[in-house]
Amino acid sequence: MVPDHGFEAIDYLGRTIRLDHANWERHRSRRPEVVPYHDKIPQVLLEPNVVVESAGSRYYYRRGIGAGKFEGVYLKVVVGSIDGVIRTAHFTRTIDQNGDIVHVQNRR
Amino acid sequence: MEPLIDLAAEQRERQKFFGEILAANRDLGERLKSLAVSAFYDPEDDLYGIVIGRPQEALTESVHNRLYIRLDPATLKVVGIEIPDLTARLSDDDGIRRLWADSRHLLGPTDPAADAAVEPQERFAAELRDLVPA
Repeated sequence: MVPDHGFEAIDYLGRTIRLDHANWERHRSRRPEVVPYHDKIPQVLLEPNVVVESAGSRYYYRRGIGAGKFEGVYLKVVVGSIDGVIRTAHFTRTIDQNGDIVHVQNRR
Repeated sequence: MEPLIDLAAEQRERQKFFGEILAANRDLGERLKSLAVSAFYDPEDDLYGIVIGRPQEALTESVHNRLYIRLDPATLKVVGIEIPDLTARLSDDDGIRRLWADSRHLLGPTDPAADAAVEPQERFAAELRDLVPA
């Protein structure tokens, strides 16, 4: 039986975010580095360091999740703003600040 | 307690990092000639991608959230690119359109004019360099 890797999670503002099983299956080959961190994606959504919104998508960044060659970089999760569906996830060294910065951790 | 995020410092770090990426990829044109290069298009995600060399784990840096550059984490060599929302980008982004025009032959046989393009690898490398903010 093929495990179902889809899930629903809540983001830092209480919005429901969904990962479709079919979407994740496509990513397994395209983003092999993210596969071991599937279960950490809800943490990125719930406790992001930075969230940027641009052109119909929200970009959640969270550092401190990756290990080995991805230690110290951000895990970035891309979510459709309207449907709340996860489009993709990847590790990135930097924050692309193009768009509206709608959340910064600990900003006063 | 987690450290505060300093966006100005993050931006400076990003500019520095992109400089390192450009420096590490001066040989991109040569690598495109010597390595296996393939392309894919996922109509479900409207995602176009190019893989340089063998598929591998990579960092993914975004350029204006329109272009994703896949990098070997150790060497910063470009190992692929991805263009999400390809259909929209072909209509509103000249840089993406040029990149697409210079690489779409990798998807398979296209029109004769595209197949006859002069030194597509070098042009592709130049287009990619132009899209990366220095």
